[in-house]
Amino acid sequence: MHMTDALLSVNTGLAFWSVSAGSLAYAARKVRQDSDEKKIPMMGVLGAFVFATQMINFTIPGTGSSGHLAGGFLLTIMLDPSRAFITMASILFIQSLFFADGGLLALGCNIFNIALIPCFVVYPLLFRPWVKDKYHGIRTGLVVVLSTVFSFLIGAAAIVFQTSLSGMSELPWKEFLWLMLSIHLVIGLVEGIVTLAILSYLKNIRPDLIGPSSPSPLISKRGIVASLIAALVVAGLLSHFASSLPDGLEWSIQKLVPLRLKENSGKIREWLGQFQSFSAVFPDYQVKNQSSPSDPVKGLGTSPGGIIGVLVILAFAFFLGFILKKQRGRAPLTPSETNPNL
Amino acid sequence: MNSLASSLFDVSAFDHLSRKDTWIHQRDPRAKLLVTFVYILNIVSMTKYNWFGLIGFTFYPILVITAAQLPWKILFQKLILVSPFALFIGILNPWLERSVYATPGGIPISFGFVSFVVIMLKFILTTLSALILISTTPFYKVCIAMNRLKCPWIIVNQIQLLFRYLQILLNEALTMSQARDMRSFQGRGKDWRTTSKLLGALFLRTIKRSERIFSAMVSRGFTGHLPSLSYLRYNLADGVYIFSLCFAFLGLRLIYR
Repeated sequence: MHMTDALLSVNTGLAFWSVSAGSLAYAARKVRQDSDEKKIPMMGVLGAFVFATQMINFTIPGTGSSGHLAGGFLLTIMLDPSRAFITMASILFIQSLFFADGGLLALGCNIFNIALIPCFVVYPLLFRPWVKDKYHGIRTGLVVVLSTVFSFLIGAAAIVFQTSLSGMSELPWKEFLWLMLSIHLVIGLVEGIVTLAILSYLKNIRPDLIGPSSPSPLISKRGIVASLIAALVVAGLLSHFASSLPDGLEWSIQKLVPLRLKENSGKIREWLGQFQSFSAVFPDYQVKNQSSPSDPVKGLGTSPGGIIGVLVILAFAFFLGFILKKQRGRAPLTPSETNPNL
Repeated sequence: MNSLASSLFDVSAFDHLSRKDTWIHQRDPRAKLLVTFVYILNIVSMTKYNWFGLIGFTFYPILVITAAQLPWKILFQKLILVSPFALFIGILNPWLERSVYATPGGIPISFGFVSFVVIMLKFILTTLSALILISTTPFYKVCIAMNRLKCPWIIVNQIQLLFRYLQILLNEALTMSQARDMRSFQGRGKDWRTTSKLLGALFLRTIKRSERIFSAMVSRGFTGHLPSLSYLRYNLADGVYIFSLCFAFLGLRLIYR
């Protein structure tokens, strides 16, 4: 499941962005060092494969509903962790732009939950130590299923963590956690079994494809532990900010604005304050439940000025839009228009 | 293809929209990336009950959608179709936080309801801003902009290749799934055993294709790097675009705090 911008706070979003961007840079460096050019188009095509599998539904036994493969752990096994990480991050990027899954700020969280956890946590800590060099036998099968399940469970827990850290939702985190874990346990089991079935099919037909792709894993265990600790420290520090301050951006605005306004005498501030009280229907609430029942909550539309203000802004936006609308030239034909089969 | 799947996986609609030539389309892709990100940060940072300020922020999608001549219908179809995660999580808020926020016309409105509305507004605005970005900027230009903004080339390469192969493979999967569905009676052959073999076959085809693509690329001089001919340069209009919009966002953020 994808995290969305709407449930995030700025601090949580940026914290996870920094962790994900850091690991992306790390993975990119690893891949460049190992420079196997043949794998570059392979990554692109395999990423497209993951998209394509989502077109093919299958019935989930016992429920009657149908689902599709997510394909994350399959990629991790077929490629190496660093390449799989970059491939999945690129999938998430395209999903966030074209398919409106998640959002651009939530992309950091999504890369963390869906790509970083299977590639850099579950694969090196669970899959690699148990499946050494030979990819056959019951133990390998079990480990494939278990690793997939754990990738889903940890990802689900991360979503709960991010949601409750952001504080947009009122869901009590314990119940939310249990709900998410139980849903993702089922999804993970199905995904794990199908992943295993695909792997055993591939092993029968193209045994050369299956197997540890690189003799030395591209990532060391010490590196993982260090980066995880770093990630937790960053997230913890920023969440401390998040709890003590109203919000990073608001905080920086409060810090910045008085400085500027002091220089220009108190007039602008006075004017701003007047405009604010004139335009805001409701002042900023710090209310948590019934902490202040006597707050000036009188009803919607107590301030017609506020509504007029917004209407003026929106009308202006429309007006400006129409002015800029003039198109300079004809839109060139796209390949998809001239040739629908492309 | 059924209509839901076709509109979910249709990338070409945005590709077509992004090739128009309005003032918005002509802006530097870096400027549009920056403005989109500042906008999303501003939206996300709005407090939990600040529904009114968010309505003010709808000026940006209204402005750009009218100026860039984007069809409202396609954008909103996309909005409705996308993952309803925000809806699922947010819809519980009215039950979880029942203290009364206001009573317009005698109808009590709870804080939970207001925060639900805020979540949905934020969802609409952030999603819309991403869709606006992609339908006013051709995708390859987004990639060039990312490259110029110091994103490692290996990641930009990957995104570009993925985007190019996406539609080809989607068609392939669609054909396979259609062929199976036409031969399937009462859902036979749609179980996970058969489907995983189908997926395995698709995987093998994918690998074959990547080998073919690689040899084609090598024979045309590929050395591990996708070159691009177009270069970017900021002009005055881009500066105006960035500064006026960012100031407008910050101004709104201050006024409707």
